[in-house]
Amino acid sequence: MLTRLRNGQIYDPAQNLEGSIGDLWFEGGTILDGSHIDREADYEYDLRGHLVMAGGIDPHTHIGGGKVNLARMLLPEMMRGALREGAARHGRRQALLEPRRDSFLPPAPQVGRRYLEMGYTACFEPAMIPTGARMTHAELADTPGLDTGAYVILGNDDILLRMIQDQVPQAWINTYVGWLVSATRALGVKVVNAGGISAFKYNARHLDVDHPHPCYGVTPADVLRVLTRAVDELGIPQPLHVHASNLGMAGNVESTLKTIAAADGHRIHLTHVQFHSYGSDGPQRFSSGAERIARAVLASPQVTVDVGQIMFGQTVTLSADSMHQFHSSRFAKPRKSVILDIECEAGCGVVPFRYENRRFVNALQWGIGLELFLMIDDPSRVFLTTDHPNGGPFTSYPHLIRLLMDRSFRETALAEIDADAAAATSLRGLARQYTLGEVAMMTRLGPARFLGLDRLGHLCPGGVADIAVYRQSANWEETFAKPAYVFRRGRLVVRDGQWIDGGDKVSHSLSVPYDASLLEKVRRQYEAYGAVPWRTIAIGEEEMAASIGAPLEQHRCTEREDV
Amino acid sequence: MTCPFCPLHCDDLDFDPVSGSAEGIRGDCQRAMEALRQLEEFHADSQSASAACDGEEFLARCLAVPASACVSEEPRWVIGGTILDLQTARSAIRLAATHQGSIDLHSSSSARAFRAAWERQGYIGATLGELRHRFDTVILIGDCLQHWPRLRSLLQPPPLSRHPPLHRRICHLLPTDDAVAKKARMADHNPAAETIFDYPPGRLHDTLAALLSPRSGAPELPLHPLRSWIDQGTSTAWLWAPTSLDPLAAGILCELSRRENEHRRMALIPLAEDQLFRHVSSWHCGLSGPLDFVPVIPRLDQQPTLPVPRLRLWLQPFPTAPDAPRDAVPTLVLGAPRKESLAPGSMWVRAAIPGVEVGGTAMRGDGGVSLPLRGSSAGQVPATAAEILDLWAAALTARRLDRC
Repeated sequence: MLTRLRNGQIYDPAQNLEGSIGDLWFEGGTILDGSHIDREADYEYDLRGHLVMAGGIDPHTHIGGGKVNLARMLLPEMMRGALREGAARHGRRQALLEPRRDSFLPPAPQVGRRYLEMGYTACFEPAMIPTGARMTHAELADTPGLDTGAYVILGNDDILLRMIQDQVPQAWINTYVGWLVSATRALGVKVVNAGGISAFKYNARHLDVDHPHPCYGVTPADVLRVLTRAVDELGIPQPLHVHASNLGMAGNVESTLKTIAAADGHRIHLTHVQFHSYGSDGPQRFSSGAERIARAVLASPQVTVDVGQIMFGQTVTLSADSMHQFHSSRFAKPRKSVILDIECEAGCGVVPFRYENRRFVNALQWGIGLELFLMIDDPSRVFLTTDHPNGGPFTSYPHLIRLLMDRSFRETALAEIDADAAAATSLRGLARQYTLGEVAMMTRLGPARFLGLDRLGHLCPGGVADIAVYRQSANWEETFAKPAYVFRRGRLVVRDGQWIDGGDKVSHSLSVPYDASLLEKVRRQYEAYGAVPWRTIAIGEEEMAASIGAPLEQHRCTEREDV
Repeated sequence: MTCPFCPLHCDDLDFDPVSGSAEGIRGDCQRAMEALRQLEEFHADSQSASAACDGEEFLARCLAVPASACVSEEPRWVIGGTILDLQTARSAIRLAATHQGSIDLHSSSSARAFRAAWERQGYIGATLGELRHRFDTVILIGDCLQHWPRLRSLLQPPPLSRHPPLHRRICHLLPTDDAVAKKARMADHNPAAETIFDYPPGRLHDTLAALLSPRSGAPELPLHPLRSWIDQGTSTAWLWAPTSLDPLAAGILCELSRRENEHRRMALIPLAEDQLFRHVSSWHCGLSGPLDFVPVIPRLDQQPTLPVPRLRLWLQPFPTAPDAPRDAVPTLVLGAPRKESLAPGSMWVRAAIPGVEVGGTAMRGDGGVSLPLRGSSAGQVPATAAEILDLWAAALTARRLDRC
């Protein structure tokens, strides 16, 4: 069906459109060039007074995999409460589908629905353990209406650490990385606290970027160096996705700067960088390191970041970083946690937590996140995330966008946090307000380019017709919380902020070329040091589609001239 | 392929999917071989029938309508038994959620006790792969080796995993009577690496509490011998047999894991049959069962509070899986039940046994997917349980639409 969106204010950084009034045409899930269309549209929408953007893309949100389920299992009382409240409001039949608006750990059907209801159409799980890939893909397949994908975790597996210790040629490591990304149907590679999770298994409680691993003797910097190089040499579009060392520790800004240096000029993505931008100055030995990080990012064009903003309220933190999560389990609220060592590959820590605006550290964390957003003056390299649910639920994105776009609202919020923390941030001096074009870059085009998804994140002809239409309002939170329409691959799925239809399900993965002649060597390493048989790792294309239920959209690596 | 018959999910079951015959399966596990033998008998006995009702045989598809009729007429029905794979778990939840049923799977007393404890206070744990490669001290509560015969070979450290090589010590923590018998049996069996500690029957929690004490500010108490034994190692893993843990002991064990890790590594390794289902149900509806969809909101309850069903769908993917309770509740068995376990009035529908293509994960086994292990040799391919459940769900939906 040919559809025409008339007279909308179009925000599309890919075409330098900053609110230009125009029409948008699409058919069969693809955006068309309107100048070549000589027939009447089957459907027309008059969008005067509306903002038109591509569908939002969340490049880092924990919506699938064992850790998310463990969190739900650890907190049944909170899961029950959310369902009960949904039932009271919407009736029992709708309880499963109508989530509480601020629910911090919605089940898969609600995740899909709530993202669509905010105009987001693609979301990516950033921490998939190789042996857990099947289950992660199955959960993502049961998350309706979204484009999804996942990044496979490396950097704490005994196989890689052993290869680095043995100083095997880089080509072996490239083969291992390429095979693993392809076999697990991943879209990228993530490192969580390089070497640190493994060190925790040997009872180490701290591992800085240049400290040797207690068993293998390699440093996190060594791990980062070989992996950033492997990702670049393989041509994986997304840079190495790095959860740096010493997450959440006062003074960790030094580790983060060392992490950038360890990449040796290769591309690197620092994820939830807010949690890695802490100084240790001041009376409470906790201060903002945002300015130093912002300067380093702006000076290094190969570096991208997502912020991982914290939002006040109850949530649950979940991470493969069992070393850090063990440390933070003493602050758990309610006081319970699960810490796991998993299959010689990684770990898992689930710690419920409540961020409070009157507590100095939490309030300053909130301020540091906003400082990073406002100081890194390049929205193509800084992405909007709360590291859902670690910093807060993804449902708080409209509120966060308002904080960035409306200085007076930000000042009001600043007045409500702990006074010492407010004084310790430089937020009052930051006048910057995000424009709609910058929001479109940060939440649409930027993440799409970062992930190598050429047809997403923009409104150019040939692009996927994932389109969000918002009513303009003086209150940006209202605008972004309730789109007037959301089209998903050309089908109307949300009207007036309410989900009306499922939308297609697509799983993005990457086909990585690797040196097959080295695969046998890698297989022998894997079978010697891995916890599960080599043959069980690979997920077939047919298995993804027929058994797991996630139809694949395969992407190819790019040849990089700068490597 | 990966063995589906117990929570160890051994990865070295050798199966020939082309012949589909148990003769193609080799292994040294008595439990797996017994399950396979019974499975073979089951298939040999019923070459022509894929379903039966009160002794009369049908094709499975013929039972879709009567089965859905049964379900639709009963206001309280429950899915019980054993789920091995992702697909069956997803289909069971979809069926129960759409047509207002309940799911209350078989779960051992240890699994129930441990689950309640970790929902209350959390724990620190590890997977079997980690245990095999890293932990030098292993404590088995109850007779784990009887339940999981391959556990002993799994506890042999892999030759290349560590440098210097891992020297593992194993402790059997048993009730006194069992410990005496076990000592007699073990007299000529590797006594250097394995040792036995005992506790008065029903007083496991006292022993575990004694392990807590020295670290919790009671230095005047004498050190428990098991504590001294643990302290000789660097990292300790705990496993327990399906009937060994009571709620009090499970709670103390969870607390012990937290406190020990302040100083040294200690991990609990829960092996429960229903882990995979719990993962799937938690992502589907936020809760991990038993689940009651009758009021449409899935309700997490302890088992005794689930109402008595008036119809039961029992999933028995292989003959040695737990049987349906022999009570007055009409039961529809799906899978490969033992013939003698079928109560009068029961229906059964044959389903292919799902293999488990694992790879480990947060709880070993939660990465399983359906992979029909058996059924092609007789020229007919029984559907998997997931496919049959989907068929019934469709028939139920059609039936309801007809009424409208």
